[in-house]
Amino acid sequence: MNSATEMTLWIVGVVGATSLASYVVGSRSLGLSTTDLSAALKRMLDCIGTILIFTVLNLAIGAAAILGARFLIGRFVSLYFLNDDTWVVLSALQGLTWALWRQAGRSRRSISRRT
Amino acid sequence: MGNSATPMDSPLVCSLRPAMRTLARVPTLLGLGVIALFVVSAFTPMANVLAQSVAVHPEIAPADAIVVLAAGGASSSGALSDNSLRRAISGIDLYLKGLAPLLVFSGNDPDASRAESRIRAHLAQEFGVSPQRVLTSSGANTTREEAAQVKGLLWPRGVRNILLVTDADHMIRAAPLFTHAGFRVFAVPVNEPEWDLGPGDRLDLLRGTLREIVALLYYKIAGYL
Repeated sequence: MNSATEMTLWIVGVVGATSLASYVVGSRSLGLSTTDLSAALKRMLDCIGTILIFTVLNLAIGAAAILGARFLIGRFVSLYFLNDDTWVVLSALQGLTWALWRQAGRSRRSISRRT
Repeated sequence: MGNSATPMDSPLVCSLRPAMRTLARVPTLLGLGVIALFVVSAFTPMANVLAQSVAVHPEIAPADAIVVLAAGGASSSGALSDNSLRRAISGIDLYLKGLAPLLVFSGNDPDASRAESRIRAHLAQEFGVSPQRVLTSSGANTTREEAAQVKGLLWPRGVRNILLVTDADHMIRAAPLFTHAGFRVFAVPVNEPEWDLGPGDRLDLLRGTLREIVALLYYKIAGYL
């Protein structure tokens, strides 16, 4: 077996094992419901999608600003600035905050509708 | 329940509600797409297949000059970046094999201590390359400007055939640019992607390949190619 395949198996194995363990702890020890797990997965996907939207938005505005600086002001700014990992990390913080904010608002509305 | 309108809702709000509900589902669907793309990119050879399909294949042949493109400059202590060093060593190796009589180092030279092109030229001399056989080019901000500068340097010397040395992903854009500048290009991509990659390396490969594809599209749209 080559080292890359071995590495993949290690990663998948460890993450799979901790996922299973946390499911067992959550459902048996903490009494969390399986229905809530599917709702949590849906919210997680919502957060990731929102992060993607913020990432694309930030990179598009960044690219437009760089090209604008080049062609309008005549100042060279490298497009490689968009290659920095910080864009994704900050976009993730923005996206998470936005998605959780929206989810919190939705939860509050659904509670007030029920009462 | 979800469709029930409150007395406060105007007809406009009611009519927009289905559209808003569909729009609210977009992030979830995008999230699903991101997870699917992540799994396919990290755990299958998709990144390798894509990189291979757009790669410029090596073509090592005798030429008039070896052109080594800039890569990330040098540190304030004068140390070349990993990419810059790898490209420089590859260029020196081609010269020492007698594939061309001239070695050109392009570089990002913001000041004397970080003069990538001169540090590379000095390195070549350390390996026994005659200073008369080494040319340097600096001040270009983009690959397109590098092509124009190298043309200005080599065209008067009658150089038309070049061995172009750069990273495999950067070669996707660099080779067409130098061809467009009028050179016959023999591509010498350094650090070609391996098939035996771990998940993190596959994601890096995909990112590098996509970046160059986007850059190539931009160059085509801007009319540089």
